[in-house]
Amino acid sequence: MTDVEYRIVSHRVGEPGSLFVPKQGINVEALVAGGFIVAVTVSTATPSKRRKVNTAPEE
Amino acid sequence: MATNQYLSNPVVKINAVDLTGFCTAASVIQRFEPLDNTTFGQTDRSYVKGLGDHEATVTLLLTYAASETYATLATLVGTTTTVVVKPTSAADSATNPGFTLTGALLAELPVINASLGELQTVDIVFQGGVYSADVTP
Repeated sequence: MTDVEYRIVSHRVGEPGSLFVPKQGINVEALVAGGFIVAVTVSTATPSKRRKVNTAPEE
Repeated sequence: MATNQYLSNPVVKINAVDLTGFCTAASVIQRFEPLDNTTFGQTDRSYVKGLGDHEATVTLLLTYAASETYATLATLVGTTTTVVVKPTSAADSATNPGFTLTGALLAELPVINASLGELQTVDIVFQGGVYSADVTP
């Protein structure tokens, strides 16, 4: 599963690199189109269990 | 004694973008349509409050560089957004309210307004939306 979060690019919106949480009424699409923020896709899936690998040396 | 306040450093944000450094004038008008409820027997007009019809007008130096005026406004034409104007850059408070229109329409944008020997400015108007005066820091 993935989710979208926004990161600030322009100092006119806030600290560049920090997370942008849009308040009500903010036109996020316009901010992305104008290059003020970028949309970042974030995976929200829990990591799958990795198979245990036996690293013991062979006899 | 009356107090006059000289506003040299108001803050103007359009769609969360701080355009203070490009703005030379700004006004936010809280307005309601007056509905005439005058009846026979009255000698003066009387009105009741109708729908809110608020408006924000800003005068901006128009530039085309990245992250500046045109880049902010070009993608907003024909859409609704949030406009905030407050008297100073200090935190919102009762003495420094953040006058806000949420969901105001930018119906038109003059994309060029050139005059010989002058800096280019545009007057843009945001119409409608929900008015609030934010006093919470």
